[in-house]
Amino acid sequence: MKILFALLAIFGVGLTGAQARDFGYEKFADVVAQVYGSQYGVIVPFFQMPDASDTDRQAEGYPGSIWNFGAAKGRNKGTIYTHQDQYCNPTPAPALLSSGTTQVNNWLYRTELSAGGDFTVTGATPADVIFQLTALDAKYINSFSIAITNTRRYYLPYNILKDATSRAAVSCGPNFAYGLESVIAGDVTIKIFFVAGVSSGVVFNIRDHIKANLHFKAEGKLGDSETNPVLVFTEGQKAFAIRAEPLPLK
Amino acid sequence: MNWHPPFRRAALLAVALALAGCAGPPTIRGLLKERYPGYDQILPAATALPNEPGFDYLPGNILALALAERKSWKQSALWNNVGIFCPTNIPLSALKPSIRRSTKVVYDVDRSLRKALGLSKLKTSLQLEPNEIEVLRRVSISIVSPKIYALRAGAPRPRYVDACIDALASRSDLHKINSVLVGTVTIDLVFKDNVSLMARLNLLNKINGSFGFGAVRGESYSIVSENVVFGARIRPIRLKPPRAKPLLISMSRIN
Repeated sequence: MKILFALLAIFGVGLTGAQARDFGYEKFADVVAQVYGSQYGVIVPFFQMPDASDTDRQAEGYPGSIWNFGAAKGRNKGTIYTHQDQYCNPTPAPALLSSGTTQVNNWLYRTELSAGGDFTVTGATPADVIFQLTALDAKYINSFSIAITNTRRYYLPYNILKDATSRAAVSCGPNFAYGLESVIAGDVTIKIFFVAGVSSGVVFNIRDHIKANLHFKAEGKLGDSETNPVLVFTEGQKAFAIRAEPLPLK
Repeated sequence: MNWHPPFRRAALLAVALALAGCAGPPTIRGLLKERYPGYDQILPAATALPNEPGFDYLPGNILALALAERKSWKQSALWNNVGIFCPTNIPLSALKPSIRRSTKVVYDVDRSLRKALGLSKLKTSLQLEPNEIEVLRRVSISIVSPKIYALRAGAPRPRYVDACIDALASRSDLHKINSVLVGTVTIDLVFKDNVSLMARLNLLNKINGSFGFGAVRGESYSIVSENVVFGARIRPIRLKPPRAKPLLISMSRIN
């Protein structure tokens, strides 16, 4: 009986805790791991990096801050970190170091859907999504392209990083699981290429879903092709990849 | 030796064919192995910061690295920067670089690469499927104005922060950077005729990833990274654990 309860506990938790997969981010996580190294994972949704106006360093994105993330695997390698803006910064948060790094241009994801609107990925379920869009929306989309320019990597020397996460854990309490070690941000442009003949009403509806789900403030602009509409979202200095470790840092 | 021109041409052709037969894979790791032996590739790539004393790719820096790909006969090793490091606090601008000559390597997919590597190795090195390789005609990698920065005799001594070294001391994955290669890297891809735009974009996505850095500029199919650290000579290092401190204080109290 004990074994039965143990199995129920393991599989029960596993089933109830099962997350919908995001096939678009799964592939993007592979690219992030390949280009920046397997220590980096994609962060979902992307968030705005702080600028010089954040003099108190209270915004999200400072290495040395502590966070809560959900973690899932990329398609072949890499990690997808999902967040709900649950973070806490040390006081004071250390000044950032940054250097330019690899840009991503013309990365293309072709929607993995059959003509009937079913996902074609092995093990897919109807609850799964593509860049946070359900199959109902995604069936109107041919492909997504992502370009990231002016890419910068933010990081800290280890003693400063370790001290910052320790101070944050003391002042913010025990409810945070990860220390943010490094962030890669850039000017992100996402283009959504629709299938031929899709109505403008559907395009605008999907634009609203993307804007809300991917946390874009800018309005998506409609490309000039009438028969194959293209939606373009552009926003500056969005964090799209991070490196994080469970607390306390070793 | 005063060779007759036809003989000289034949000899040069033989040498060129022999070199083509020895060509490594068209990756940064392949180029490092061929032109800068002893240097490895580290990801993520970084633009060199001349005046930043905390830059993580400074010569003399101690950093944790994870091995991603071992070195082979044809390619140097690939490491992932774990992001745990102690800087020397000596910026690149305080060091006198050693200037090297610009270099260019051309990999002809039709001839030299097929002969040198065979399809399976080419597939592995570029991480492409056989049908994707078919659309490529040539790959060339050029390095412009390469410089080597190292802590040589007469250079300022590293100014490590004790607290940083102490925090790292227990780790077993530490390496010291002996020198770094900085330059502008350009990768040009030439496609065969009648290859669709979608096929080209798909291939560029994959290749961009396998090179580890660069940006694809629209239709020109060039991957360019300016003033980037594209190689590093490293060696494993073990740090001594921090010394115990309280003994002296308790003795002074006794006295």
